[in-house]
Amino acid sequence: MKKFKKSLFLILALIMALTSLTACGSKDDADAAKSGEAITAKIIEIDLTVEEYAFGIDKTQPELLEQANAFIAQIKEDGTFDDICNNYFGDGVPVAVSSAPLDPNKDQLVVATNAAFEPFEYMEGDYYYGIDMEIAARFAEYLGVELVIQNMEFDAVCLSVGQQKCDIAMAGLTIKEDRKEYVNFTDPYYNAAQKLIIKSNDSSFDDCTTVQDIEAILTEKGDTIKIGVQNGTTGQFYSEGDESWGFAGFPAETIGYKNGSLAIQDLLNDNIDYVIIDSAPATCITESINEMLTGSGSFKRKVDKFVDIFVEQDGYKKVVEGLKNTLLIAVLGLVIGILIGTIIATIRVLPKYKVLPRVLNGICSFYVGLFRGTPIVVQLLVFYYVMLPIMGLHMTGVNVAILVFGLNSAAYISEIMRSGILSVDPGQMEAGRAVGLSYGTTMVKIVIPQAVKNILPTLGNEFIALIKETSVVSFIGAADLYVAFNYIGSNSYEFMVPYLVMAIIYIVLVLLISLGIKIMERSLRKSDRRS
Amino acid sequence: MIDVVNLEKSFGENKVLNGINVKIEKGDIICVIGPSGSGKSTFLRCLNCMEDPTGGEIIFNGVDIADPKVDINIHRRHMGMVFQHFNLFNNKTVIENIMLAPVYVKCKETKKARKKDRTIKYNKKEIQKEAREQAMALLERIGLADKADVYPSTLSGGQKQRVAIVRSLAMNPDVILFDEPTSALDPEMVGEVLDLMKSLANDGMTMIIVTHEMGFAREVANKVLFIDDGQILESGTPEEFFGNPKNPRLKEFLSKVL
Repeated sequence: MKKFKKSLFLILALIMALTSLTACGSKDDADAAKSGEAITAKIIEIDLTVEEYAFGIDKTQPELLEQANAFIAQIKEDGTFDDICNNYFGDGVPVAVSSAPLDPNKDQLVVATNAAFEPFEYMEGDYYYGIDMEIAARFAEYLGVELVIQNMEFDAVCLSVGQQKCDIAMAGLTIKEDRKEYVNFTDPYYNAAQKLIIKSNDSSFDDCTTVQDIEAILTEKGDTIKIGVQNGTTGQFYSEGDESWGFAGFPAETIGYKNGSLAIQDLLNDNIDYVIIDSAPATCITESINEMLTGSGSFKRKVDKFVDIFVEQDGYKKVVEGLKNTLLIAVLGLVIGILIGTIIATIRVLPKYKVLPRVLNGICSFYVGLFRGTPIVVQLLVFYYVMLPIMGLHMTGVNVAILVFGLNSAAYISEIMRSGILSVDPGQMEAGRAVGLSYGTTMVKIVIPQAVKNILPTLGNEFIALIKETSVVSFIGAADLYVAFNYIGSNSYEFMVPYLVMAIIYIVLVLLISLGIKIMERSLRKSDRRS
Repeated sequence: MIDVVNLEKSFGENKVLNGINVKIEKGDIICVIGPSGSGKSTFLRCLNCMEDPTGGEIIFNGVDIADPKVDINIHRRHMGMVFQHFNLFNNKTVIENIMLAPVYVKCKETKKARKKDRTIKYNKKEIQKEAREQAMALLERIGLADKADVYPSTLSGGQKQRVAIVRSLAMNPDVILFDEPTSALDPEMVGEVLDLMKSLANDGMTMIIVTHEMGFAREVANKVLFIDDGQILESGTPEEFFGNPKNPRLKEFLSKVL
């Protein structure tokens, strides 16, 4: 009965949380209705910069560069390139491109991209779409090899080709001096421009006819304004100023976002004043966001959009995959952590009048200090990008995450376990030794089981913290829950609902774990009951 | 059986045992008395190296177990110990408490023997079954067979101490060391524990008992030791020990406790 009441309470709490959120949504609508028309984003149709897109090729493969240049010339000449562009800018239909699994034994073309840059590259379900992706598919066919697409942060695209993890970068890449350090550029295939995006109720740029007009106004506004850009793109260099490009920059504060839609979303949330991004994606994003803002029931629309991507476009598969990875990393990390942590704790409580225990104790103290002294993100990055290449090993992001989270939690669990062992009556160890068991056997059979019972609540805390901390593994390319919902968000240009659903999933996970710990505790407390 | 030669023990600067010499024969029941802080508990704990002696020898069945090179675990299996605070394994039921060490040791020995002689069979289930039967027999002896599957936390102090005694009996030891076995008990439970110890004495078990129960010492012991300042100041049969004490400090001590 008590249990029933408890679960009822939980469900009620969740429903309340949800309704209050919906209520927020309808309040938004009311505000919009009051001001007459919802504020949307609009693009100033003047090219701020003109730049050339090209592909970046691994410097150790000059023959691939020649082949790519020949291929670009060929598709430009026979009209294939115009056909592809027509699929996105005209009345054509985008073609889905699929990626084969990476297999070093096969002849493959490994493409590095950042699939959040519509219409050049984006994802729907498990398929890639976009101008670059369609070119990639045809290029692989032209070379007669299998196509593998590796989706990563834009900042990492050139780097991964430079480190020879990928053969070619196809990510709407502008030809730029400092990028030439990492890759060889092909001939340009597309001329792109940066555009300014402002709020629909902002009329300061209405009279502008040239780039100089816009730049004059932006400069005049001084450092009181904020400009949003996508990290690592031309827009960022243009806004901040960059010598190698010849950009003077603006006095305004430049704020970098992971992608253009987040920047425009933040513009509409009134956190920044302007956005400068590539013109092709800018058009797609503004259309999509404006569509959701105009008219009534915007929260309902956001939910609909989310449900649409979640169900129709196989978003749930990504979420299930992400959930699986999150749990995998947390659970296996905890198991590794408990194993290593217990060993460390046992070593640290050894009597210390011999040399060996002292040396081991020193090593363990160093280990604990090292892992408690650095942030988990730093450990992940160092392990994945520094240690693995030095050792010449290849591991997937998820495996690295499991290992690093295991090693990290071992440091914390060792201290928890040590306090647990110290809390067990020393008489238990004496009794074990007195009947002729060794130190280790007594530890394993008698002391540690009692220690675990004492520290179970703290250990549960550690597990819960671990589950939530896993949300940083996208730094090393592991696809966890956060990556899944971020994917849904960047595909719908709408992050409110996906992020909320993600929060709810984390809460439910943590509640389930707390329940599991309670049940375990009850069964372990059997030996304490007096009846 | 146990020959203690010039036993010394110090904790840092603090010298607790100051050269103890005593011979213990099979079947002896030796009570050790003395004021608190005199070193009598430390003496008992040195006998099975719960505390490592800092000097002297303890010859047990012909081996000097005070030597750090000796595998003490093997010798402890022949030396039971009963503690003031019982120290039953809290995470094990009563019968598991009794079976744990016999099963573990038997399994280990059988495996070792099997390495030399392949014809020896290793069957853990069989070993466990035997140990369980033996443990049940011991529990029946102390009238606690119905408590076999409960955890120690549900037992009274007297019951716990009786279980602790049969736990050490389960290893078929040559000698049992008792470290103030009744000091932590409520008065009405002291009797049941002393009765069990008397019945062990009647069976001919060798026992060394640190105790404050003078009546018990007088009745059961065949030798009583008085320890103070880390030395044996007087030893003898109970009759002469209690009837005609010679050492002035023993006289003073007895006048206080009797």
